[in-house]
Amino acid sequence: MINESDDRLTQLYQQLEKAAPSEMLDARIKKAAHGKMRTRKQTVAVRWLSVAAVIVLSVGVVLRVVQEQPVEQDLRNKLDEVQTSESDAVFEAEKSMMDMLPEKAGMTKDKRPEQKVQQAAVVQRNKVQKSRDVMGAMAPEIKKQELLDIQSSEMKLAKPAASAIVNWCGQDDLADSKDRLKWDERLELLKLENRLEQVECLQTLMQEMFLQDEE
Amino acid sequence: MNADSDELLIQKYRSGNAAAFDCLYERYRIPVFNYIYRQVKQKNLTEDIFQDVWLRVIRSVEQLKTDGNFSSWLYRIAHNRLVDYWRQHRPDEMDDDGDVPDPGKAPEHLQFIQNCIERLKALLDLLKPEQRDAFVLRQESGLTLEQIAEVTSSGRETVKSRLRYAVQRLRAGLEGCDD
Repeated sequence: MINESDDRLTQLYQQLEKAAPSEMLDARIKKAAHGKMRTRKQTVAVRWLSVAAVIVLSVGVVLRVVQEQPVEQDLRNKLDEVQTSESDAVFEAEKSMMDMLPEKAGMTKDKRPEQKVQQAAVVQRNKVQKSRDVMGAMAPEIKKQELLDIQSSEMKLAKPAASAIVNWCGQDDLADSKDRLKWDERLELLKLENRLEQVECLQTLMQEMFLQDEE
Repeated sequence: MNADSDELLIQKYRSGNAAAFDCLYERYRIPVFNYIYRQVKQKNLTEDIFQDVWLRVIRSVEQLKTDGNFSSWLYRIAHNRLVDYWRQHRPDEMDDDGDVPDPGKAPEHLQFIQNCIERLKALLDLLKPEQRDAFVLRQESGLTLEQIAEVTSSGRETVKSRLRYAVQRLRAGLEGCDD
């Protein structure tokens, strides 16, 4: 019976001369196998380095954000202080100028301008408080330019009150008048004469006087 | 590490142990080389095919299932590479099984070879490629019929038939030789 195996054949086959790959071929194959392992390890190492780098960068960004929040709060507080000190300084300056006037000009003290200055300073303080409230409600990021704009507008508010002490925008005859119509007529006249500086001065003074009166 | 199973060596190699590959390579380099050599019969060509086989192994070792049989997988790669070679260089030999083997004596020119070993070498060259492939694979690898069937993408009975015819022809051709 023929089957698929034969011991004698197997024995003879095992006696056949065995061929073998050259040493160079062995070295090439092993080198390829080792090289693949090195590449795989490098890939794994690079992957871990990337993850570590992302973590470090993320932590750095978070820390930076956390650090900047107190700085913004400081800026807001300083802005409030500046505005308050400005209004106080204006009031003091106006008061001292008022005190000086009777001595220099020998004039009797005109209480109305002083009263107007005080009222103007109160108005100004109210405005400062309002702006403070607005600032508090603002978004965390406060731009420097906005701060400067606010400061300059506050200064503009202070100016008319000071100039009113010195003169009634050149319209001294209006000093004792409470007649709004008279003031409006004078304003129109100044506009027709194109005396813009006095127009602006009078407009600001009228806002303060008649606004205060309405209050 | 020499006593480790093929699968354990593969795992170690995948984990980055290059020495595990060296051990595996030492275990199979001679049998695989001879499996190819007995069918190609040229050393340089055998080295080319042999290198190609191992490079494919290195590239694809990640895909090998952990419970897979490394030996069958390795010989399958080698077998496929041989089939490519046959298709390119000896297409006329790629014919069906089914011939009834000649139960007679060895060809006349071989009867002058008294030494059985030398005659066996010559008789192997006369086998059909599929029969020689099955016989040499069985001798070199020690794989079972089922595993050889898997390696050659054939049925178990087909492998059995090929082996049977190969044995018959070889046995007949070796009559009268001196062991």
